[in-house]
Amino acid sequence: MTLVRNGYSWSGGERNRFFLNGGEGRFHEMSHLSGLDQIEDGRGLAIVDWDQDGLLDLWYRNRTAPRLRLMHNQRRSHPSVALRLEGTKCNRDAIGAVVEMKSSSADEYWVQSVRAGDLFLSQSSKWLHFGLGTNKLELTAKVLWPGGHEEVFTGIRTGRYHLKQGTGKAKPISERQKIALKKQELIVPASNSSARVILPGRVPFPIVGYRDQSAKRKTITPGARATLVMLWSGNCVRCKEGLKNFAKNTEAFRLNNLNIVALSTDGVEGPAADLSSTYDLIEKTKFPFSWGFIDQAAVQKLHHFQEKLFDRTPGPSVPLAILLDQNFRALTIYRGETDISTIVSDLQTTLSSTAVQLYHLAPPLRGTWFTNPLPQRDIDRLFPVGQ
Amino acid sequence: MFRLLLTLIIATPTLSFSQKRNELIPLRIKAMERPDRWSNEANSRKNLTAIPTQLGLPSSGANESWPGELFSEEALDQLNQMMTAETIEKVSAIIAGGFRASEFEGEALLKIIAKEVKIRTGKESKLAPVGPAELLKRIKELGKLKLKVIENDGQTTRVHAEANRDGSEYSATWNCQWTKDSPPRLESLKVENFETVFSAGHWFNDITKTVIGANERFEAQVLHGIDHWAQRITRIGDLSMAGHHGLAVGDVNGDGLEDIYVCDGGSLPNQLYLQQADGTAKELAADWGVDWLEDSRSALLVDLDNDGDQDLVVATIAMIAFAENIGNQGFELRGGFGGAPYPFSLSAADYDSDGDLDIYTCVYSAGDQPTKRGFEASSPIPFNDAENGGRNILLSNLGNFQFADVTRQVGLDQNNTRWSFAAAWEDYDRDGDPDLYVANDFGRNCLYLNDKGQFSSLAGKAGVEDMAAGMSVAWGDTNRDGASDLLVGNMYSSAGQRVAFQRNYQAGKKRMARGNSLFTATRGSFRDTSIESGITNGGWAWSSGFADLNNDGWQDLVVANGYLSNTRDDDL
Repeated sequence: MTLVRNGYSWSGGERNRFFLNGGEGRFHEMSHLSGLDQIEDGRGLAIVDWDQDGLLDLWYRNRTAPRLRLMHNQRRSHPSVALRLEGTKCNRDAIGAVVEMKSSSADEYWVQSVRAGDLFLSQSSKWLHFGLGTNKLELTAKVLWPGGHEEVFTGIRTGRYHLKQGTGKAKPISERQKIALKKQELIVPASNSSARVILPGRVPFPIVGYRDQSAKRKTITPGARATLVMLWSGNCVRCKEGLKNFAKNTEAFRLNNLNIVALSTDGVEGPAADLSSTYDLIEKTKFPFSWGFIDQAAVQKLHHFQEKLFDRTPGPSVPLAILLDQNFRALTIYRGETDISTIVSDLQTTLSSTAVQLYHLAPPLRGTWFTNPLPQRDIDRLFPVGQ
Repeated sequence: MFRLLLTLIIATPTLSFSQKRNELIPLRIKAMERPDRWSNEANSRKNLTAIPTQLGLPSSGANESWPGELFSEEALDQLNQMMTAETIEKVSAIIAGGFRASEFEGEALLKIIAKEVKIRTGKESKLAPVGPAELLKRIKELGKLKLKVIENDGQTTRVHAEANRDGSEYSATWNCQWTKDSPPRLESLKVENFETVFSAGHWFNDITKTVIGANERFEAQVLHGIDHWAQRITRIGDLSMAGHHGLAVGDVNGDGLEDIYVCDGGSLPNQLYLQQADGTAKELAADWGVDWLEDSRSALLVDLDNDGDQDLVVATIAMIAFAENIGNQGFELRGGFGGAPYPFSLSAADYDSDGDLDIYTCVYSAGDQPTKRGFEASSPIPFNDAENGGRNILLSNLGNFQFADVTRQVGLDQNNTRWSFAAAWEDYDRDGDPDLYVANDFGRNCLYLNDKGQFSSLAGKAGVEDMAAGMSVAWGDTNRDGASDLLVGNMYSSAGQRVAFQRNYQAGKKRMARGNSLFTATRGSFRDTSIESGITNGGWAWSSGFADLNNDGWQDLVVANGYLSNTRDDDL
């Protein structure tokens, strides 16, 4: 999995498949011809006649985008019959019922069972679908209900029927009005690497050493204030903009009692590095906050901190900023350029939040938790300081 | 009812009566801290480099231990170059003197296999000398090829070839003989078998955007993959890269139109799409009270209390959650079962024929931590026949949203810790009660025969043990003889096949990477018809299922595959 986390694929780029049953004990691959050869990493597959037009459609649930696909069946080769069973002496959904359908000439034979949950992580429709091929004769359905009772329903032709246990009558369901569902291409936008992460709990931050502008060794230490640790480079355009903005907004930070430490990654290559752009930027912006240079070991340490947190971490890059509370625990992470008002607003919200509040703030899309958050002592144990 | 309770008490004398009746944890307690999931954090720094070896793939940079792999790569490279050659010179440089080949498609007759679908197939076509000019002509006729080496032995590589053209699709197995040069030169190319399928016209349209595109969170929830979220949601928030989240179809509001519940990763809300009269669907999970953020794997929409509406069961990493449908207008969470630490697929059936639905949960591993899931947390041993996985659970429905774990009592605890991904019920012996087949990732699969609520494990005797990485189960009558056949979705890996075939491995391990298995029912047991039916090439197949998509009365096979696609092209 290490390789996968670093960007390699593992049986990736596989196209979904479709095999047509040729009726002679052999299936024939027509993935491309059917249009069911999408390349995303598929997981779930639910089979359902979505628009009730007598043709089975397919919902795919995927790992990669698009995470859902509804493939609408256009193949009007033959008619079909769909049956919805209702149990009265057995479970109402009739899960487990086996239906044997025969045409009146008795030489054509179809068998389907009612199921709830199969394939992988999937549940298809409970309607039983019978493709009739060239059959034009009337049909009879023999139902083996769960529990063992058998019942015969006659008078079935094409279309949809409701079969209620004990009635012996296949009740036709009126055809749904025809609906037009247009095909549309699904375009997945390119991913960008900017991110604003609100952590679901306060995560202890590693001790990071750096050299200040007079090359004196220092460490970022917890103080009485919240701290924003920023990684930047004089050669990065977005960092330049970021630093300029920070320099202009000293008031906002003062009001919110936020300490800023800006660490330049220029110079990780060693003493021969050209640091002129770094110093230029500091001078031009008259950068008023603490700043310095970090070395390769510190960059690795910070990267490792993210790798522990995320199942996938993008490669180390700048700009990167991490907001720490007064006890040196991380509250939020920003990758890419982030505006000051966002940072200040996040600070105000998260600094005084309880564990439960953070837990509910963190999800990028609103939803409901029915569980309680991980206790702080467990988070502390996972991220012991000193590492 | 009295008899049933008595049975439970006798079977589990250590549990008090009230505990047994209330296995579902009442929601008022909201007890879901799981400190045991974090206990082994000391091990979290260990990277499991053993994984590629377990699957029969060479570990990175260790091609020397699999000499065939290097040759196989060179041979494939040569073949790919030849197949995309533009000039005769290019082709000449790759083929050896005296090169012989069989026709790629030959003169086989066109056969009609379904309405407007024809095929041309052939086997064992004869070798004949072919010059570079003629070969180039044939290559161009073939179209754009996709090649994968499936086996290599000495100077031979067996290759699976696929080509998509307008109106036709070609797939074949080629046997290629190479010289000992480096790079090797092609001595002969024999077509062992091929099939070209011809079909005009459209089969499927993508209507996703039309149906759910108008929802406010469509872009966020559908157009971003799990990798996007795995960089933005922490492990503490339970977001895992593996992306194992499924879906369930059912009519939740009783309007006669099917709706769909979609499971999602930790810190991402599950979705409920309600179909409208015009076929579009509105995402209303929040309104219905089921927009849960817990890492959810699978769900079921089933009538648990037989009151005519669809209730909801969701297998989450915290608990198997049970929610009651209230008046076709919303769901109310009634409680959950906490004894399934790493659940996967759910399936429902009335195992004891007492009139209500019971729930079976596949539980993959015995313990996981958010930093190490499934097989990263503990290793399946031995990998192709492991018995140290999680314990699958059968929850018996006691009515009124009360469930009890009866796995042991009913005999389902035999062979029950084999790293299970999926299971499906089917009354395959037609005696009125449902039987159960379980597909396992690292152990042999299980077929449990139900006799009045008691199960016996008999996969070996029935011929359906299938020692392969099982991920999906589907029942269906593929040959219309009235008996249900069994499709097991497996991993098909050309790399796995190659390495497993080399003499370093035993026959059982080769089977692991072969691909999907079809077991055709025959007089009470099953026959492995996988290879003769032509369905093994499904890729890393997760969901593999039956559906008669052209309504000709024959069950076709649909496969959703692909494990972890990533930004780089190199594939493991």
